[in-house]
Amino acid sequence: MVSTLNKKIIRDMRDHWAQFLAITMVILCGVSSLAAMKGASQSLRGTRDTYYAGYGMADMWTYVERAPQNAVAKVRALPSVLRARGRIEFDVSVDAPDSKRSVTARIVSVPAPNDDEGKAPRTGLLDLCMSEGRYFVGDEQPEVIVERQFAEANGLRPGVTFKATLNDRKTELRVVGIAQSPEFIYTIRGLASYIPDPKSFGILWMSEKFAEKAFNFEGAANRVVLTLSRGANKDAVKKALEQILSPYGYITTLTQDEHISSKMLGDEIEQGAKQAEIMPTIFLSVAALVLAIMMTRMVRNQRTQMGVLMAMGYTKARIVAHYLSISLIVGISGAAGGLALGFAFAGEMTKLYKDFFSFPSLAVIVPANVVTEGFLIGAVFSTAGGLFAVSSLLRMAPAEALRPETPSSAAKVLLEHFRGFWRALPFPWKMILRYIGRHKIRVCLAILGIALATSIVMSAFIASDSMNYVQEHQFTLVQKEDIKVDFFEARDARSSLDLAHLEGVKRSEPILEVYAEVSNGWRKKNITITGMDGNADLRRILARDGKRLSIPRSGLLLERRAAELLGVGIGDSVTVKALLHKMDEKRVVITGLVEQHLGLNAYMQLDELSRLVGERRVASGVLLEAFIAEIPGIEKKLKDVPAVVSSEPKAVQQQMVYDAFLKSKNIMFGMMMFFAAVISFAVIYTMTTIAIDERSRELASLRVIGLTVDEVAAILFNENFMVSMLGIAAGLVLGVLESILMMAAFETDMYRFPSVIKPYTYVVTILIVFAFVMFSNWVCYNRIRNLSMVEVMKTRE
Amino acid sequence: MGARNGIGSSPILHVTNLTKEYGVGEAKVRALRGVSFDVREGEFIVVLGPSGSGKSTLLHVLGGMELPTTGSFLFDDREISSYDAAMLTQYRRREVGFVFQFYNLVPNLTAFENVQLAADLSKSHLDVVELMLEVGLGERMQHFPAQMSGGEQQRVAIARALAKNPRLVLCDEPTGALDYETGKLILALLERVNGGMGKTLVVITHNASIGQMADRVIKLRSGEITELIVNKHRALSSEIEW
Repeated sequence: MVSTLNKKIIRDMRDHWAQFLAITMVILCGVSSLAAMKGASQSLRGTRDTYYAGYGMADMWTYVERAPQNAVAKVRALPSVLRARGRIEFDVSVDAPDSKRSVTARIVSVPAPNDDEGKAPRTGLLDLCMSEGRYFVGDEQPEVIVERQFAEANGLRPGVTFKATLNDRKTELRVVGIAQSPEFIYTIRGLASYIPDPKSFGILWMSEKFAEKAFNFEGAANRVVLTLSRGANKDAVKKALEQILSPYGYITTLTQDEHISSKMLGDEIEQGAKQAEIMPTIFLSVAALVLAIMMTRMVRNQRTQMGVLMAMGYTKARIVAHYLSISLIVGISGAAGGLALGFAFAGEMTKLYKDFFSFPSLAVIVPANVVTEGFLIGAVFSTAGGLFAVSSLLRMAPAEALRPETPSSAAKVLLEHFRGFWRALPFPWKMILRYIGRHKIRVCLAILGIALATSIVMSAFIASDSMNYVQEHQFTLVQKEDIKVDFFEARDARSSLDLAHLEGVKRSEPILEVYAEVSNGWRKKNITITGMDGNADLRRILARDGKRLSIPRSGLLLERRAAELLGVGIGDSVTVKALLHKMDEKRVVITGLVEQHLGLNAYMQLDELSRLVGERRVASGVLLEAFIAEIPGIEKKLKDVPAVVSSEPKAVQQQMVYDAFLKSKNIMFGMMMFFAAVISFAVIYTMTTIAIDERSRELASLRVIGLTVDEVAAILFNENFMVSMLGIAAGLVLGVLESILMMAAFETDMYRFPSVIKPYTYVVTILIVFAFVMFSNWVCYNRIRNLSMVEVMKTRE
Repeated sequence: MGARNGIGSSPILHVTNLTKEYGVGEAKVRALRGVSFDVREGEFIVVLGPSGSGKSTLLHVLGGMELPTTGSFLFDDREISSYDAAMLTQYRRREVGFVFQFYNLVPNLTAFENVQLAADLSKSHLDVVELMLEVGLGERMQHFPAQMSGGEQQRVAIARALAKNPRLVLCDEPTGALDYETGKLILALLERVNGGMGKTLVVITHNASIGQMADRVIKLRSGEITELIVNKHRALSSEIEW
């Protein structure tokens, strides 16, 4: 049987549904941001871990010039090495049937099949996950298996044949299958081209025997991939590898942390996890405060009823339980809705991951711990808010609860001391100022509520502007070229000038991009160093204040974040070691700090960087300035230049950067905007409507005296207006602080968002919050109009 | 004067030197300044006084809604003034029924449910339907307070006060918000509560006429008892007018 008190709960909720809905929505938004971000980040992590474990992700990749199989056998025999395999890896130029641009593929050799059934062998080390077609059956056919994203982008379906240049010979290859691998989840040629572009670069797997023949590598390999036993000492293994392989042209060894695909994915997961801590915390703190404020004011309206229950002999525990069960219902339903909505958002974010992370399947996992956390937060927040709200009333004796609330003070408000001013004030303003002066706590809570609402609306705008700013900064101010051309391998810088003669090209500048490890003591960072000539103009290097920096004759210009991570400043020296080059490390002095928002970069003179990699004056690519209309034509011609591995118009790159990094953030900011709007509306609506309930008697008395509805409403509105103005002003300050915190949470090696505050942000924020205030006022206006003077005056306060 | 039938000889309430102060410093209000009296079981007491005389405070203290500043107050030889909050709750729950000037019904519960709310608290509660019939609201049980007249609401409040079957019923200006005719109906009901059901009844009011119905009238002014009147003959509610 439903107890009488429970009936009261149900009817309380029904009668004040709008206020309860508002509170539920606030919890819903908070929990939803948690579920969305944690759901997305944990889904990505879970998918990766399962994938890595199931398909034998390698722990190390060793680059060597040409190692015989017996050397690989020696590696395999090392005590901490679990599995090892030599393989052949070359980047080749491909005539993709559908493509208008240069297409490059990385050929990677894979072991012979176990059977004739076309299934990929399971070796426990970088196994292929076949999604279509078959594995190699014979061992010496000109067949390839294509990485799924590459296949989709270039129409390379099983059965299709295409030509590729293997060891300077055009060879026809037949696609037999489509597959994915844990080492090529995020596929880019090198860190310099930080976004996957499956149209121009991808992976082709080839049977070992055929690759040996095609590249004249019989019985040899130029890569060794290996997995290590648990707890193996990586540095010791690296040393042993270098020792075994140095007679065969040892170049370098990358660990899983340095391996590009693994690092990019790992970064995204780490950042996602960090963001999933910070963003929901901001939202949930705001929600918790708003909740406490809203509930306090709601419970105040129940003062008399609580007094009556106490007078009847209901125990305080019963009464607390009564009110807490209401807040618990609200908390739990808010959490349930928040989890549902949040995981839906997580699904959308996960879909975007699919565009640039190549996973066999990437579904949203609904992690049990997040569900538990969501419900716990909902329950704890609402209970705490409820307890906070009823605690002051419970300290009262029942008789006190039954008496009308005494004003906190009857003293003169500050302004009353300015006699002349006070006398000149019209009486409604006296009422307003006295009310504010005498209900300081209540008014402060209202101001705080509006300030919090304002701050999140504002930080949502700032976040979105800052994303646009990053794009604009990178692609308008920093990158001045129209096309970036990459060569297969670094070549004489003079030859780059040949491209200047292509029709439509206005200017060309050679660049050399070197993936290097920059270190300061134990602190290390892998960075792309770009070498340019002193008079280069197509890539602008900007300092933090926006001033252009010129490349020093000698020394390094380092990106600010990289410098911070390394703990160095201008004038300090760092050690630079070119990865993927057989060169010793060199000491270089930092001569300036660069402000750039995408990628971790450093800049040097082209000549000096060439020397660092042991060459005289080489370029890994060219920046071209061109007539816009000529760009497609230039690209077509570049396709026929054998030295060119890829060409990328800036517009394409910008779109890719947006798709890869910013689109998912945009969804997140969209979500924030929505939550900000809901939370701020909820707090403002509740505050205004409760104010009416609290003061219906006072307002009715004014009506009785003969004030019109408009005059009564004006008193309340002006009061709201003052409170809102103060709240908005405080909220604008709070919003700036909040956005700085939030943008810091978004910082990764790949992108950094400064907190960009445009003048319009203030205006729009104020307008939005104001619109909420006005709508709430309109609801209140109708209440005032319908206020029954007789009824209100009949009941006691 | 001899004890009327049904009135016990032992006091159910024994009040000695009760004081109650609110606030501090200049804002201090002395609501009760040493009040002493006894109430016997089954007695009908009217506390008469103008507003500000301290009568509401006295009622709150007698009902265990707040504690006196000094002095003692025994209910059935139990020292209620030394009770803590939890014990006071038990006292209110078992022994006291309240009727307020403005009824204080829970607005979103029906008449029946408002009474049930109190009945839920006691094992020895009275039958709610019978009570509703008794107060003449058999037809209005499923109405919400807002759908009822003031008199009807006050009858619900009286039924609610009786539902727990308390020994002491305290009424704070029970007719204060009602018109003459309705007020008299409520008084007739209270008469039955005292006479028919044998409840000890303390009514505070500023309406001197109601005093004629009581066994004794305690006159209160500025927190002090100014006069104690014993009625040799109790008037019926139908006989009094104001």
